[in-house]
Amino acid sequence: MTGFAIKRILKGIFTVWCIWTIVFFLVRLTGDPTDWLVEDGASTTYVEQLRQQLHVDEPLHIQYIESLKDLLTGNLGYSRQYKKDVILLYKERLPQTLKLALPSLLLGAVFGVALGTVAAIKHDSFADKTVRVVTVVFHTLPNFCLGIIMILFFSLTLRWFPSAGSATWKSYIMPMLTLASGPTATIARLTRNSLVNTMTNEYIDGARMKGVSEINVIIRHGLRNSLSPVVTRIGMQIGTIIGGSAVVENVFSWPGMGQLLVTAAKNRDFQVVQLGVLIIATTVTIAHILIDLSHGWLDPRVREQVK
Amino acid sequence: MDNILEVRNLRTYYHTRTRTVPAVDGVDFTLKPKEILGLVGESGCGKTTVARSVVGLINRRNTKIESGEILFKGQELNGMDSHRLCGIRGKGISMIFQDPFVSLSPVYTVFSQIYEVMKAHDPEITKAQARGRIIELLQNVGIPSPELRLDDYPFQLSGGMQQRVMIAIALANNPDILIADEPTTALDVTVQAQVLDLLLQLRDRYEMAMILISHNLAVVASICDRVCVMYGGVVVEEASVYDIFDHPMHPYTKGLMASIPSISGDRKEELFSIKGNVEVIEPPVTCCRFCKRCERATEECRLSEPPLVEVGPGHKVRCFNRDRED
Ligand SMILES: Nc1ncnc2c1ncn2[C@@H]1O[C@H](COP(=O)(O)OP(=O)(O)OP(=O)(O)O)[C@@H](O)[C@H]1O
Ligand SMILES: [Mg+2]
Repeated sequence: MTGFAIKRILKGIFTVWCIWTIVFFLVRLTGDPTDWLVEDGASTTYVEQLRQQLHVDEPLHIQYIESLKDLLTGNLGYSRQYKKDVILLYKERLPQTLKLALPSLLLGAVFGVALGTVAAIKHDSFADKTVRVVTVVFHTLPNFCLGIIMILFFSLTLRWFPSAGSATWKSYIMPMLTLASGPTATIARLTRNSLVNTMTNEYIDGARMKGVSEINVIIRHGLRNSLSPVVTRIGMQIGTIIGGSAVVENVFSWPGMGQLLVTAAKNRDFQVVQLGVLIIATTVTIAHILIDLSHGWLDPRVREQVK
Repeated sequence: MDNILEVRNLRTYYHTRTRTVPAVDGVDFTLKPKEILGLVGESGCGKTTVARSVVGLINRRNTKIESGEILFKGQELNGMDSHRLCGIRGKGISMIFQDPFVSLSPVYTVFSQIYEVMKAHDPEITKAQARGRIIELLQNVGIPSPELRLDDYPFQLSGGMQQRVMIAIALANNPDILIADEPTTALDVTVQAQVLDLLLQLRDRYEMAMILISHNLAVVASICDRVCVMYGGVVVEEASVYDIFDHPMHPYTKGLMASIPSISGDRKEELFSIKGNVEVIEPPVTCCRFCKRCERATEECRLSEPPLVEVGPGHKVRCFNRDRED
């Protein structure tokens, strides 16, 4: 198991490095950052000076090697736009995003599993069909659409919740629901299908024959044996939610990392984009490593194979 | 002696999208304490459906017990509320299934699977208290060095061991009745004999009654006291194991007997087999269910269904043209 974990972590580091590299070149493909920094008609000498200062005058491969060195020594750079160390910038913004993303993930997991379980138990009933239709809708509805619909309805018409900011607990409701909608739908659908499938196994009747009550049969045997795919899907939603944050934070003017990242990309604030991507890639990679490890933990047969 | 289980006029139908399958269509039988009753018949004749109906393990969505009484120690099980039924499953009546590999939850250890059935009927019991009893149980079902097996998962055991664990689960609360649905079909031939022998021993040790389901008359002959032969959802002949083997009266039973390979018989001699397959006839049934495959079938057989009549002490046959005592 430890050998497996180490291999998996090394692979993860490689993945993160690949993503960082791709993003490094991609942002530089979008053009010269000085375009946005200087006003029209600035003298060419001034522009040249600025380019030197930002190290964008050197050939790309040199820039890449320098950046990689900086990265490994923990020197992550400076945001021109915000006039701040990028680390400090993320120290402010990351908690804001987490405050939104973590409850959303939790909400998605709890409601997803609960809805999926109800649908599976009553499968082919009206409740099941409702869950199926609703989840398809939320699964396909893009976050920005749902966000805007919510603002129109709950902020502008009903005036229940503020449409922007993060001032009170009320500000959390709409962005959280928007962010959680997709994951809830996916998790519910997967839980339903996987539980319906598990419940056809003979060991389910074996458990019933022990005199175990139906609710315990569903939890201890049905859900327990459906857990691997469900946990995998929940873990994968971390990526979806981070991606969703970028959109949702912009729709609801939430001062988080997603908003920062979008603005930084627009303004070619390279250092900010690179660190943002690094944080996201690392988080998603760690989530995937944990998913892989959880399989061994949840299923004795996998544990045996890995040994 | 009083019957511990009485099943009367049991009808269980599967309702599929296209048709109704009367898998069990009027089955009666009784079981006395400590008796081993064999339920035999070809694949598809409704044996499993009988067993599952008795303990209420039917999928309510498409399966229905259309009628019938199932009296366990005088209590009606058909329609009993699920809470009381849970109290009977695993304690009053236990069941083991055909394929042990798919009947044990893959993610729990041997210990927790047995502990679960004890806990279900005795919420007070602690793991420490259960441990000793579980080790004893595993010993009784013939698992060598049981202490070392407690933390094994099902996939780490051989098929025979898995079936022994299933039996241990079934016996954990000293049930009055053990229903064994083809307990040896999925096992190696050598292991089959061991498991049958074990069941016979355990019947004496735990003083329980048993329903042994099998399509194999030889299996039934080796351990049963009494036999019900089923065909197409009904019992066609019921008798003590001696009568079934010495004076089978129903043409179907005779066919089954003739298809048992005899050890002394000439190798070149072809095995007898009954032509055709079990046919499920949709109700209402107006002929003998076996008439299409029966050599003795007459006009009468095609016009009405013969009743199950008692032809001797404890010997019942459902046939118009049965063998008379000769
Ligand atoms: N879920 C189901 N839906 C529809 N028909 C079914 C279903 N289960 C069983 N049947 C039908 O009911 C009849 C009896 O099935 P059952 O499983 O009780 O037979 P069996 O005697 O146990 O056979 P086997 O020896 O193969 O286990 C068969 O004709 C079968 O096709
Ligand atoms: Mg069967």
